[in-house]
Amino acid sequence: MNRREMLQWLGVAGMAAIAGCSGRRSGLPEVSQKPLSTPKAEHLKRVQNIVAVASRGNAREMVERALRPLGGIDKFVRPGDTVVLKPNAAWLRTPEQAANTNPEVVAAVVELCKKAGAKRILIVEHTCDNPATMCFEMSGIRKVAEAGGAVIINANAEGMYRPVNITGAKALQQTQVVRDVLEADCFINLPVAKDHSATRVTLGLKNLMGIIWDRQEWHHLGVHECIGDFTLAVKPHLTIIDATRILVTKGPKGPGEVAHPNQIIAAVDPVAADAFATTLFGLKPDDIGYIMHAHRLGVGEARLNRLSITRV
Amino acid sequence: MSTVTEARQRFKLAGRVRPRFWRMQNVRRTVQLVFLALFVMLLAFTVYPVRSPITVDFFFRADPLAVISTFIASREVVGVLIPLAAAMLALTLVLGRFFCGWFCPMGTLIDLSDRFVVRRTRRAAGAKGFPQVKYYILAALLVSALFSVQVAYFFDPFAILTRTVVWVLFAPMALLGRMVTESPVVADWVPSLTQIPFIPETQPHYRMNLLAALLFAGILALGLVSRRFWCRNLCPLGALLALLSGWGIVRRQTASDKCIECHRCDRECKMGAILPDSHRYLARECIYCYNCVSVCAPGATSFPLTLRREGFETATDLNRRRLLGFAALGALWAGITVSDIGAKKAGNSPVKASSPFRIRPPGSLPEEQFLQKCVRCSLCMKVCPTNGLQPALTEAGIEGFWTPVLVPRIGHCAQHCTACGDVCPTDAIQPFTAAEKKYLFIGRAYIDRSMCIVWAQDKKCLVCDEHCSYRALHWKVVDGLRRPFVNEYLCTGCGECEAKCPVQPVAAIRVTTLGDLRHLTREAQKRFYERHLEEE
Ligand code: SF4
Ligand code: SF4
Repeated sequence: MNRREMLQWLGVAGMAAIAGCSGRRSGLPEVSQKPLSTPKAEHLKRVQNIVAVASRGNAREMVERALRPLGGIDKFVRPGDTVVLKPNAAWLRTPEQAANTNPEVVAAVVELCKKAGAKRILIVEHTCDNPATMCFEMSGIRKVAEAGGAVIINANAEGMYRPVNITGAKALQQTQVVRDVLEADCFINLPVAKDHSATRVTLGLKNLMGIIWDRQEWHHLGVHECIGDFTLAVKPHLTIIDATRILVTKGPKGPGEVAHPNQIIAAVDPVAADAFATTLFGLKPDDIGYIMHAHRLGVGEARLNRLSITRV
Repeated sequence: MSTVTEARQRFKLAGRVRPRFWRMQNVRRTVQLVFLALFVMLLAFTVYPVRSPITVDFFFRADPLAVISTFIASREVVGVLIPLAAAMLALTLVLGRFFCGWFCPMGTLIDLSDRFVVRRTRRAAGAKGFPQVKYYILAALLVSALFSVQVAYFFDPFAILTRTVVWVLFAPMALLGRMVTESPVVADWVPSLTQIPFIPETQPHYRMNLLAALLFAGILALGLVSRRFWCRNLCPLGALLALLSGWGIVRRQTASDKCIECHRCDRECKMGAILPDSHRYLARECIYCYNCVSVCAPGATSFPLTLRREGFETATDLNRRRLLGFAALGALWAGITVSDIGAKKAGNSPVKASSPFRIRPPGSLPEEQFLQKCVRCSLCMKVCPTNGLQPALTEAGIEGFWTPVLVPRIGHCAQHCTACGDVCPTDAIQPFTAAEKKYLFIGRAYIDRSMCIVWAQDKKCLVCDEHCSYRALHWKVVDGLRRPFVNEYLCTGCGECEAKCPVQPVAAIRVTTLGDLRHLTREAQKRFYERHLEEE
């Protein structure tokens, strides 16, 4: 084969590769979330109905304190684990505007995970605003990630997603989820609590819309039902709601009015965490469609009187 | 002995030219590759946010054709465009048409393809072509510019090249880059690779890439007829530089005592500039590639600094009637495009548009001036982080073909981005700051209630309200549901709502040109914006 022939073949092969890969979405096998190790799963069951609320000190102290009733970070993150954090970094907004998770909270969680021996800490977000790189920049999350040794996964390409089946769902039969979330040893949801024009408030369950690919579809199928259904398939192992400062009007993007409850809410049960957080806005869990839908599906507990709310 | 056999004999006698590395030909080749690399590098740097060490529109500023035709068409002299273009003209006056042989990346690519792809025939020297045509084209487009219609974009080598690179090559390159960096193997081991700045985060695509590809392929394929066919016969920039190159101080000289008349030089001349007797050459066609020097075995040819006139031909051989004919063509073209009925103002509107969806980037001049200044270089399209800027098909009439329009369904105008204003070489898009964007009105969003899933189906949605960066959308409870409304004083027409509306394939909320206030000054637009304060 002479040089020219070889170049021609390489060209053909390259085209074939492009053509082959562009049609690849349909053929992917379905994946589901990686199961927890037995001791971890057993521990999570033990602290299932605890909602820890910390409200004193700075962000770092509050995060640490909120985790104490749940057994501390070591019960969730084992040495060598891959941890995925899902903060809200969806918007081109600054930390003061409270549309994204407080970077100090993210920094605190990254630090704790590092201490617990996590091998890789990934921060995953499918941003709403573009360009995504600027969202990470403006939200201040890129900076804390770099400082803490975490890696930002900019999940704005369909190739990073895997299809997931949802059994027992009312509206959403299947959706595509970021691969890294599915493969994580520990998946921590780090939402910011805030107002939301369409769903009244956005909390932990709503925050999971940042790890799926086709959000538009959820609006056709019914946002509340889809958010609830999705938790049947992918559940965070730990939810830490950032309520250090919250956007109370013009959510989710703002700018709007910002209040400062200065709280961190942590729970294993994602529905319980959200249910409690509604009280920050003077609401009840019954006011929020997706929380009640998830409750009825049996994903978690939304009745506040059945939860053990621990203030620390 | 016939002269032909005699010449053959001499050719044989002359023998092989011993290759020397340090010859001008190689210096020239190196310079060419350096400039080609610079060109590609500057395009690579044209991504949001622009962090290039030198201005990314460097090549356009150094392009006297683009600059002059913009000045003429817009009747306005733009200061920043003068220095580089003037320097280029001055250099040409002193050194001749060096530019084409040494700097022009288009020329370099043509050379490369002549050498490696098209495999030119050796009859090159015989095919003298029709070098006058490029002057006629130049005349046509300058006349058209006199009538305020820019057509330089169609023939300008840099415009052609950037378009080709951006529309045709950039998208597949980005695709390839993403495939590699996002493949499980790479992403697992070096996750940070997924954030290489030159790979845009949204996969770009451009309409009309096939047309651009075909035009460029056509230009290269002309190399089958003769080497540098485009530069010899068609390029209007080449024509402009040729016109200025009759006075240079670097001139080709052949020492008749050394010349053995082997005619290698005139075969080797890629511009067909050397006349059949090998001693005389067309000074305006010579691009100083030094090929003739390199092939001259006895070393009879050289390029000394001199003003001697022997062998130095400056005739252009232009046919006055044809020249006038082409000038008339330019005028006709201007007439046709300007009277393009589709691009007329609708009713008594101040906005000229052939389509309600002709949304210009923020900071763009009022439509008429915009059309006069835009050289269709497509740099703004390259830099747009959402890929929303696309070449116009018919949105702006014939006159606005290939000018940038925002297609919100593809991508919106991102709130903090000022990149298109930063890169526009002719300031058709005037630079603006992120803070000014809230009152640079380029259109306005309208909700089609028959399609909106809140209005028409009583479902919860409000995605548009969620995404609007300018808080132009708000909801009111109507019949028990929160339903979206647009505030005309706050909506800039950025199209973020249209981009994100879940209704497919057309959005239920769409931006049209009705909100376009570019005919007002920035001050006036700001006052319009401030009216919402009174309303509150
Ligand atoms: S995003 Fe589209 S469908 Fe949803 S409320 Fe706005 S206009 Fe209606
Ligand atoms: S309403 Fe739509 S077009 Fe108008 S400013 Fe908001 S997002 Fe942009």
